[in-house]
Amino acid sequence: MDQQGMVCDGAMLLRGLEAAAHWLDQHVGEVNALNVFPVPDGDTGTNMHLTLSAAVKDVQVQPSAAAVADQVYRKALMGARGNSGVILSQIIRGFAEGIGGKAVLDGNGLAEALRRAAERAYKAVMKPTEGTILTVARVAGEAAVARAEAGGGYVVVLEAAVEGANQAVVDTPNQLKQLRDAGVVDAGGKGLAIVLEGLLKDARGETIERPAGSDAVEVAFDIDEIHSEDDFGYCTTFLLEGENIPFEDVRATIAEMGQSVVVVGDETLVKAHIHTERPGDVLNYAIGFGALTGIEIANMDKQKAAIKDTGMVSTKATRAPKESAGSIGVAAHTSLTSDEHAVPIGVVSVAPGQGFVELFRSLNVGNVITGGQTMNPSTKDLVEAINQLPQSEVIVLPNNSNIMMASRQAQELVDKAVRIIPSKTVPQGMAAMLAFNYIEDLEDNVNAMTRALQNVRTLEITTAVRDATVDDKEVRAGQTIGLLDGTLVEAGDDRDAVIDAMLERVDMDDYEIVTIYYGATTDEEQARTLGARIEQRYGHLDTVEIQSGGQPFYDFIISAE
Amino acid sequence: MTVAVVVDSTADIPQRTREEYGISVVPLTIIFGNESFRDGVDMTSDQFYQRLTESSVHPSTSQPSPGAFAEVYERLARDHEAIISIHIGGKLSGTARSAMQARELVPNVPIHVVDSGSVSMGFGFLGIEAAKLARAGQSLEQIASRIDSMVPKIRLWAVLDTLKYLERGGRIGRTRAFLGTLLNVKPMIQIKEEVLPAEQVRTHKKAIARMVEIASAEGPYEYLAVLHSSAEPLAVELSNQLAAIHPRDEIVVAQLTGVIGVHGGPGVLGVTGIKRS
Repeated sequence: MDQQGMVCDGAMLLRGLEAAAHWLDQHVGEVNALNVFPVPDGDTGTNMHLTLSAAVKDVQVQPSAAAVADQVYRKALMGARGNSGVILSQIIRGFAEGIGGKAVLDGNGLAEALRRAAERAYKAVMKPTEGTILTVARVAGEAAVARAEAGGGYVVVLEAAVEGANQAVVDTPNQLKQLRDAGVVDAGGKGLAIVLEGLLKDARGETIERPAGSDAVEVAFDIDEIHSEDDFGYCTTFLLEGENIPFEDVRATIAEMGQSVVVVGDETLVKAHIHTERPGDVLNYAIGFGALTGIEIANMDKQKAAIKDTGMVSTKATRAPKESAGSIGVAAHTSLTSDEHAVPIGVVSVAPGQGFVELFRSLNVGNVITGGQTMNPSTKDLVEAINQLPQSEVIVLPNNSNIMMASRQAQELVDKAVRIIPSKTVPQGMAAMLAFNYIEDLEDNVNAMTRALQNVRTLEITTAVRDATVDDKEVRAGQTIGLLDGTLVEAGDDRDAVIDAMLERVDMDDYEIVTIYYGATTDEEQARTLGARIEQRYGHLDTVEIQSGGQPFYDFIISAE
Repeated sequence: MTVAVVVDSTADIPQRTREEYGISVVPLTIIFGNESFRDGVDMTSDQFYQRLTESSVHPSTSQPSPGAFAEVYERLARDHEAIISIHIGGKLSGTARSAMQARELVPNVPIHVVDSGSVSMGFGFLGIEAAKLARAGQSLEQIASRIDSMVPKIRLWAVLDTLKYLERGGRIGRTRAFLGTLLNVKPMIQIKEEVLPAEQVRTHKKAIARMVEIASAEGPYEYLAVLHSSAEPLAVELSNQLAAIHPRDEIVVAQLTGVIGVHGGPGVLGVTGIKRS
């Protein structure tokens, strides 16, 4: 490192990025909370942090900045999770390209790298929107270029970039009405500003420690060691992030709620594992103390029966938390059930719960990745799932808008012919899979499956985690909120009333089948009661079907077809 | 002296058309426990479907014996110069094989046996076309050449209410892929020599919409028919929608004969056509 902070070499760049990852780690909760919708699964901070952590993990220190950046961007592409993570990975890629082989970065070199980073960010999205992480990347790059032209060295230019980024973040609500209404700044933009800030702090000689609570090693435990032959109920694991969590109380309470309980952590981060008949109760209790992430719920009874019946191991609740620096365990499990003779084109689907996993498998989806709203699979998870399939043509059903970009990134990283169906909800993915035609070719299937998405409406029922105003609608924390095709449209204190109002918004005359997927927070009986009410109200319906989805957080996911 | 046309009972050619063109039909057999019935002769389709849903015994089917074919061929040989005998696909039934064996038993008349690779009106239309050509005085060679050229142009899709009957009858083949679907769905199949899985729909309305879409994409057709097993109102609705691609009054609506019903079950809705070249 240059004493005057005029230039940056490979070792300094790597240390800076590691510091940035730690700095972001310290702000994960803050960034997660910047969600436009007050849904309980804001995860922008988590996704960006996991992406950056994966990017700097096991990078070889080399004297050349270009050599380090080259390693980092490749890892970032694979480790990217969620749309914000994918954009961050593209920013890192642009940054590496901007370095253009230089061994050391001076002010001009850094400015060029940041400028290219912003360019890549804009290219990563189909319709660039201002007031987002894109704007923050661009303004940071412009500020850096201006300062470099005025003759600044590395640190000075980085300071300018951070200033520019912070101003751009503050400005985001002026550019995007949704942010203004929700009273938040853009989460992805804020995340990027924090990353740049972390780089700067390190360049100035500050030491940034990995926050104690979120060290994966400290809160990790080996689930296989906890499990035994006669386990029953739902194996439930999750991470709870918050401030001033009464750790001992939480541990004692959860211990009463089931068997095989392991709760570790501290007042900012708790990792819990429990076998319970009622996973929803545990999650509802825990969410009172902060934000839940990394939720996994597996029905152990069904798993055992399935293994016994088929000799096939279904999505087993194992994980390797050591892999992901930071906090979240492995988000994705995969299960391979493809029969290459039966299905000429492979399908990979993402499903947010054991029930959905089983439904997709029953429709011959070759590889189901457990994940979704709260656990976005990484690009690498998707790449592996695609590559595991025997078919050379693969269709991906992301079933969540926040998994679209990682899917596209995966598409570019594999050698197979991969097509992505833009399914934004699980029912859309289900409708697309039913339209999958075993005779037609890839192109015809993509067209038919994409068309099938339009024939289904998705109603998602969950609980608001904070007060918010969305499209002039006042929402209070704790109220039931309803999302129609991914947009918050109803809120209220009475869940039934919210569902009724949602159904009113859908012209039910056009639909024949309603399917109610109950989740981890509800049960079959509640779903049946709701189903009976819907059937009575809309007499023309062909069927009201009840299925277990197993999704966390969302009481019901309802589809109308 | 003209060419005689023979089909088996799974051709589903409406009786009036059969009589008009003098097409001979050799019945397959339906067996309920220890009772057996000649398909379409001893039992009408309506009677059959009622029995299928009420009976605790699942029926089985069997192809006509070579002897049954030989009898018909011998009768026709008396006043015809040749015979064309058109049948249900050889991978679905042994009927065409029986016909081939019967040909050896009746050496005094030229017989051309056609394995259509299809079922129902999918090959019923071949019988009607052959009869038209025979009436126009064409030779067996000319008729056979024309009919053989139509075989690859047959298209047939159907939506089943359930896979249960296909599975019981052992004809499930590659549609096995659809077994075990947890959602309540109706499988759509295509018949092209064998029963192939196509896709899955959840309602009859969608079934009709998809079949119209798929059939339209493959058209136009020389002949078009709607098939059903005790689902006439749906069949009429499907025909009305298919009027967009084919003259409505030329679309034949045929109820699937019992032998096909044993394997498809009640509630089948299908469309079949011969592509125009």
